[in-house]
Amino acid sequence: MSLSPSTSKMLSLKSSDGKVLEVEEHVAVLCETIKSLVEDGCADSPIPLANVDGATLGNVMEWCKKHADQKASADDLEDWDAEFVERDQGELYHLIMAANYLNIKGLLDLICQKVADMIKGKHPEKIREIFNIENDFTPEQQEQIRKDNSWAFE
Amino acid sequence: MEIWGNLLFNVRNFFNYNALPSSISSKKRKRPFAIMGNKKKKFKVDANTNDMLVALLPKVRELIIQKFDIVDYHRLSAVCKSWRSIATTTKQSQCFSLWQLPWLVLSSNKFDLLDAHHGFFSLFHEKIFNLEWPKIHGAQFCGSSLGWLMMADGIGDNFILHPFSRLQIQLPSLTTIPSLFHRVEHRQPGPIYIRKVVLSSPPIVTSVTSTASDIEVVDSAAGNCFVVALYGRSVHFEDIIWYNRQLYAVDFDYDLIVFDLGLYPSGTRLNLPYPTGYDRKYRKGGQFIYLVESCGELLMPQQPPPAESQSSLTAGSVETAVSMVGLPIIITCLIVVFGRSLQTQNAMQVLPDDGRLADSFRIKRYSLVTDFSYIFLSFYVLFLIYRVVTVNPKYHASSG
Repeated sequence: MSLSPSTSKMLSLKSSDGKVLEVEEHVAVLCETIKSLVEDGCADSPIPLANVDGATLGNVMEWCKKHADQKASADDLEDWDAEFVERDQGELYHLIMAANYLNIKGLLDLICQKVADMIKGKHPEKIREIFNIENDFTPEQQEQIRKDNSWAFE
Repeated sequence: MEIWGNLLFNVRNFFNYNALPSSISSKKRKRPFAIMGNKKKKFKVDANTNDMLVALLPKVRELIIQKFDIVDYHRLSAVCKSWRSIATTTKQSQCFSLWQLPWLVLSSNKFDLLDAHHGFFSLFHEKIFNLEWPKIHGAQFCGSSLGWLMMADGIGDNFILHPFSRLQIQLPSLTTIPSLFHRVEHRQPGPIYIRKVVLSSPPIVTSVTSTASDIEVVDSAAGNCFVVALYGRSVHFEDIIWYNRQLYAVDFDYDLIVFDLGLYPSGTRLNLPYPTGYDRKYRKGGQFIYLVESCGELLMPQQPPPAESQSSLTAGSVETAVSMVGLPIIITCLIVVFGRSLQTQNAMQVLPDDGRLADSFRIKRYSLVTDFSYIFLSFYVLFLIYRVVTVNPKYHASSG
């Protein structure tokens, strides 16, 4: 089920934990960071990606592969993306960091939107629960914060 | 009786009222990466934090916080100390609140009800937020611009109010405008209604004179604010907009007039052609014309005509609701919608099915052609523009 012309060149990407991933060039160049390496002719040896671990790199390339597919419709991609972001916080965090490091705007936007959606429209108690955060305000501080903008906590 | 009030209140620029210096730290700390098993529930970035928002680079964090509105902003400030400091930093960098749905103001037509709380309906949150207002002594709310509310007492004295900070800025009295002075003094005992308010720029708040009480009166309008009342003697303006640093008005014949507000204010007609299918003779009284800015473009949406004559100027479908709130005020709401992003939020389907609202506010959903934002207007007898920029005597401009 190849998504690309069979002539597409393969690139080797090496993750921070030493795993090497073979990726078609037209997929990998969705990462602006890799694209500029390719354009500069520096993509021959395995490209070391010191800030991305193997598992995350696999996820990122899965996203790139889907989004490099010319045949995918916008609706199709949207559904696929919605499923793609159903992950735990650790994975989302690493995806954001990788998307930022590799400079993939579409993926960065997608994950940032997902994290924002986890917070939007929720009360502080619920947010703490979701993100597993401890409330370190004193009761007095808490009271004051709520009082200052009580309308937002109704 | 409460009614859904007469404006779109766009909180988009709500932090601009005091031009805080951009002081976000651009220091980027590299954090050690801990590779976690996917199944682990507890997320840990490094020894110091298991908090994702804290762990992210500031630049990336801002991308997330940009997607919040003011309600989310206050809530995330109350989560924990580190989130509070993140929120504060983001506020100072002014990247916050770029994307917000407008709020609707829950208004009242009874003056004595106005002093305590005011409700705002948030489309996104699907609920009413009751902001506590300072005492406004019967001033009637009559429009908004750049996140400020225009308050008028009906006899020409006005101020603008920032509902979140509760700052107030007194504006020059309308009676200093010669024609209005004449009207107030000699002719009409009735109140002055303001049809639309435009701020050409957010007021620069220089000093807060009193913070002790619940009222904060800001002393900034004394010398650097002037009022332009725009009302034609021979021209009837339908709507005005501050667009691309200029004032535009549209008249009854769909012609656009651009105003030069310099020392000798004047208007220039652009002589736009009538929209296709428009026949002046058959113009209905209830068919209003609006100016809207959306995605950087100036648009002139129309209500779909009741009969067969569709206009080519209609950029998207338009929704309207009209209600009478005692003569001579007619409140008209026009909402032009939406992009795909809004559809996914079901923004317009969320108005509560509440008998109280149903009387005065109807929303129907149309299929739409293009990405859009909103306009929500009140329909009064006078246009105003408030411009808070330079020291200048007040003057009044009538169209040429």
